[in-house]
Amino acid sequence: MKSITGIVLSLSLFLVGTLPGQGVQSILVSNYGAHPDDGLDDIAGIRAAIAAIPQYASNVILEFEAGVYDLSARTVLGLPKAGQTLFTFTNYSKSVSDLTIAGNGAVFLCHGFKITDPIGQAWYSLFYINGRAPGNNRLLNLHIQDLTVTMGRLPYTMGTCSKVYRASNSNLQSSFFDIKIDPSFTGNFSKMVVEMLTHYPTPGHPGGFKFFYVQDLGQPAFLKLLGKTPGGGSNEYRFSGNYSSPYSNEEGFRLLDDLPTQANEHGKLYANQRVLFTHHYRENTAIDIAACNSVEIVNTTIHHWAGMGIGIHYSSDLSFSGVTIAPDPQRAPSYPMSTTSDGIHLREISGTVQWNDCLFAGMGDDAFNIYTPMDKVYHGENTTQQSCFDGPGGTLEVDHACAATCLYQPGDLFEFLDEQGRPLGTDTLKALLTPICAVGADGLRLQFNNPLPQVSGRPITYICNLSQYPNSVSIQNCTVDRNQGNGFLVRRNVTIENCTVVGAPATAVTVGPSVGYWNEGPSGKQVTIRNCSFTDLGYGDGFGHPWEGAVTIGGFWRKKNKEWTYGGQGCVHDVLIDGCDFSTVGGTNVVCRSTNTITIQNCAFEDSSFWGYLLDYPAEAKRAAQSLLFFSKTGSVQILNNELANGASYIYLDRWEGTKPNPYVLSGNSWQ
Amino acid sequence: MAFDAGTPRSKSLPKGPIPQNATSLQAGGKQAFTRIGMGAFCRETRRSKSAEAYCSLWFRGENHDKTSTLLLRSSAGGPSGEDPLCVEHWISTKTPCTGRLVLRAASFGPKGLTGDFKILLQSGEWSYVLNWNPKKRLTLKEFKNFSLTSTGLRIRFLGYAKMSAQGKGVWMSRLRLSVRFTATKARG
Repeated sequence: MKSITGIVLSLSLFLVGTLPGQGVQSILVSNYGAHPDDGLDDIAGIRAAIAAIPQYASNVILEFEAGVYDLSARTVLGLPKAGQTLFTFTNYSKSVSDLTIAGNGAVFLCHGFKITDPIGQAWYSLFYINGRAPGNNRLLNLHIQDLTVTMGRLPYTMGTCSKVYRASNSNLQSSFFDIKIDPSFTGNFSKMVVEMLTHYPTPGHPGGFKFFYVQDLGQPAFLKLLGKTPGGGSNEYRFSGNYSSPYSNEEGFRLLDDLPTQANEHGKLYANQRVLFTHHYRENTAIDIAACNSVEIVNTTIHHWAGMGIGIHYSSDLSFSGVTIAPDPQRAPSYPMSTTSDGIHLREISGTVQWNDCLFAGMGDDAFNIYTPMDKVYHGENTTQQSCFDGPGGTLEVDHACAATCLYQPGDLFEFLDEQGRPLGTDTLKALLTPICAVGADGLRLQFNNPLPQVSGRPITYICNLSQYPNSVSIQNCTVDRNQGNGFLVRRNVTIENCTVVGAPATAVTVGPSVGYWNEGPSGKQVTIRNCSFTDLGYGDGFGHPWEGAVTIGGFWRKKNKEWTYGGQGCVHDVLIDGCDFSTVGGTNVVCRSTNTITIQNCAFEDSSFWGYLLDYPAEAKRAAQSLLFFSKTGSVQILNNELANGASYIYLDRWEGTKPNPYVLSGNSWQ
Repeated sequence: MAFDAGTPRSKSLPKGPIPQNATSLQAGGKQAFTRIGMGAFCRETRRSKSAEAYCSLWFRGENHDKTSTLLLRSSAGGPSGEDPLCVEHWISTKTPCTGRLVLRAASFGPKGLTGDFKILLQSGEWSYVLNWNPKKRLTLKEFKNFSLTSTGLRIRFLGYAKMSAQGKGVWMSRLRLSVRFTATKARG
């Protein structure tokens, strides 16, 4: 039987007459000395072709050919560090519009990665496209299509644990383990600083890899490299715990307390398990875009990068289709990681964002994050001048860097939030004033149209520019597979449809602001998650916890004592979860904290909550992990027409902390 | 929100035997799936106009030992399991225009991705067929001055695909077929 789907697109968009422009200007990189598959470095040739772009005002296509372009980044640029970019599209003397980077099947192969580079300095960016042009204009219509990005030496190291020795409890510091590094991974491991281990043996990943996070040299080492394994091969190393680390007494770092004494015991590491050490993270992204109006990325693949995959900020109207961030299938599944950090970061974006048919796999942290940075409001704590916050006068100062150019403009709409991420109101920016309290360039004084909102006991702690958050975010037909963090981190105005998240240690979808550390906003509302499939999630290894749920809705608050907790009610409201399948979720399936007006309907829960009840977590977290659905500080909840399939082994079906959600409507569910 | 590298978030597991009930749940093989994603959308900005129709075939499964073989298939079934799927889209415009029409069949994943898929186009009396070559990562055809008329463009993705993967680990592959029209010049 054939399944036929007919979709008619009536393109009224083609009503308009002649497009402005003087015809397409094609710049062939081969004319500038960059040829694929010749084994020669292509950086100079590609740079020369890019330098030719500004001579055209519009409709420029930078054309590559199918094949591999070799990029000897280290040879050309020296040590990697923040801000270093292989190919920079910026400093245009005049405005350029309709720029297309047409890969035509090109593969950008970047060489030169070494594991001993200072990690805090980050890896290079491949493309840095800053569309800012004279007169505060931006690059109009950027297209990137049909190209692949990867690295020669993978930005991490893998091996196999060959031996574990656990000493007695009174002599734990004598414990050690041996790792046999895969021959394909080269480097001087004596300089490698391992900060922590974040992968546990769980039912979710019985054959998975252990995941070591490698920090920069300024961080206290988690492990000590004792040297080569006595009697071992040339690539076999012995590690012990670093008990001089200030973190060594913290539970999460007590690796050697948690080595199994017998094969059938729980523990953090076993002989014959695969291990993975990640290296560079954060900072530079493979594709870095700023100040572009209308960005379209089509059929573009990032296999490996030491950092994030794609970062876009201060831009508008983004469209993605057929974008893949995933390990090179020729190297997978043995080498499962793609980027060492998040896959996608979109920040300070206005207009609309569309994602269609994209794949995110094997990232070292979260897959997708869309947010607007929050600014911390000065209240005069660090200055003798007390006038930096003038509520009745509608004036405050924030820790927002605004040196050469300022992203804030009069007329922008701002949200005010308290220290827990709860909104206090909104107002429009009237003017930028000279800072009084802020030191140097790291400060802004903002004048709003009206007196600042005053709520007893909840002073304004953060502000967030709502004009730099999209009015519509659509994510459709996307898959997130086996990354080491969360799936989609979203705030508001988001629809996630027909997506699959599988094999993540943390959440599939997180809705809400994060304050106190990451400071990512705004507050959450109007999010729909429909017809999605969430499988094998929340098992707690990698960066995640079983109590966070496959879908977690709430405000995330890092207190001054560095404890992570959740904000009070009001951080998120109006979230609909409709027609989704949850299966093999480690802890809770849906957890709502600090929320209101939540609807969970037409969903199926199968083989879920199978792991969280085993864990010895703090009380509230443990109760959440043991629950199929969990609510805390939550107002209105509707749970309608859901199905509980075989095998869900929760302890609590639905549970709430503190007061019961009100109203709490249960109707048509198979367990009623 | 992302991870705070400076703050330990891991906690110790309890000592003791691994609970067998939890392990057996994993052995249930919940993680194999075949998914078909399809869609069509258009995008208009002040200076560019485009439309795309696509059909995505996803395969994912896990082998628990090195002798296991996965076989996942996207088709309409039938006795041989290879009856063709047919996904149809239609792009039309009120005002004729010209532009780039790009047909792509991009495969991602293990070499065991095989099948027979075609992209069929029809516009008035004009027609074209692009056959997916499973041996190539990318099968591409571009019409640089394609005229999209008021009678529109009929797009069909027709065929089947299957993934075979042997060995321990998680295997994923994907075949993405797409037709994209980007206007470069409008008439009328």
